[in-house]
Amino acid sequence: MRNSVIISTGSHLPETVVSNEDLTQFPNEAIHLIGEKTGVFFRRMASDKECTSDLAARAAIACLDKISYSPKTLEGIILATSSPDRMQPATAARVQHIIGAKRAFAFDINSVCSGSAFGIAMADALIKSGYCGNVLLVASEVYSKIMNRKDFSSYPFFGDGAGAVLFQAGGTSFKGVLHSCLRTDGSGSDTISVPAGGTMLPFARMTNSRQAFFKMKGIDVFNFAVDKGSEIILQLLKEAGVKIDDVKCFICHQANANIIHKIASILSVSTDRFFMNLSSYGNTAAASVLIALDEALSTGVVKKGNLIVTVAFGGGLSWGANLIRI
Amino acid sequence: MKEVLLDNLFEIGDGSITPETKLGEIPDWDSMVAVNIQILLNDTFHVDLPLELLREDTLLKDLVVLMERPDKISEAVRKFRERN
Repeated sequence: MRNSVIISTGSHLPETVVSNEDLTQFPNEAIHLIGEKTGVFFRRMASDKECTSDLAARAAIACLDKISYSPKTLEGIILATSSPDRMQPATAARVQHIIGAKRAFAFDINSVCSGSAFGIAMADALIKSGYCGNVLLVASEVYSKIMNRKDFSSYPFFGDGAGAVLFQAGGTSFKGVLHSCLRTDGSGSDTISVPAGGTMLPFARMTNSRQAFFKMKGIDVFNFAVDKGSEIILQLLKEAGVKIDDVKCFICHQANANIIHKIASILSVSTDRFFMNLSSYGNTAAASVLIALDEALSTGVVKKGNLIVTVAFGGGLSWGANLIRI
Repeated sequence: MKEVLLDNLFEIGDGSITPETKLGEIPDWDSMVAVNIQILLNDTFHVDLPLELLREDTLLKDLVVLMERPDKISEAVRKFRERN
């Protein structure tokens, strides 16, 4: 059976760097809590003129340019985002136009912070089924524009950014996406949400302006992420028949350093094997795993032939993991 | 005070907040929520309440007193530090 092989990765992070100390809307005496609670010290912020598709297109172009791959040969584009340009149309459509991928169909998926795990599985399925010879997966988020900048429980944790991975059909079963596990528990659909702006609560029926902003139940999310993040990794490896010691690197959703430490502890794996860049970029939601993967590859932390696990968790509630041979 | 908290922070029923409610009884209470309450009280009542007074055992009625009498904040901080 043909596999979906990663042939390039790319990322784009906005130029503006915002440190914890720059968040002057919060009391000075509370600033230290951001680093302590999350491990985040800096994040990137999109300009007023930039939207999710702009960041996505730059990540896509970075990914394609790295191997001089013509966008005209792309067959499918999947964009994972939970901060779309608009309610409709799909943000992916504008990305397709900007990068000039005229042959490619393009659509969005919204699995919030799990978007990378679901996107990798969908790209893999499109290739394995024979429907596509290649798929560009992009994940892009501009949370700075959907958050209440005075909400200390969420605003300081997040950053803007985009990542991209180009999958191509390969002839060997030893390389590429080897297995994926995806899960959803809709009973937790209120745990992470932007309450207003959809059909459940149209803007016209809002009773409080805060309903237009992202919100999450922090403690519930933390416990969910630790439990399900560790559980799905074990399930993935069990189903694939792979030993945890054979995994070179775990690329986990960059939500919170304390979550990653806890997951590593539950798995009895050294934290050194978990790639982390959230201190510089914050939680970039669906984009975090793809940005981290690009950085892990470009810095040589992950090399060709390495076995890696990508794992993500977030709103839905949803979570998933992918086993990939680079 | 009750209306401000209900409107801005908590997804709980109107009857759930009383003067005897402790901050720690608020759903999803943690140190980050404490900062949100600090910001909210400052924005609404223009009172700068130190974070150390927003503890899980702080009663809402005590906050009401401090909103009405900001001059009592220094004394409250001093008493808190003596106790701890």
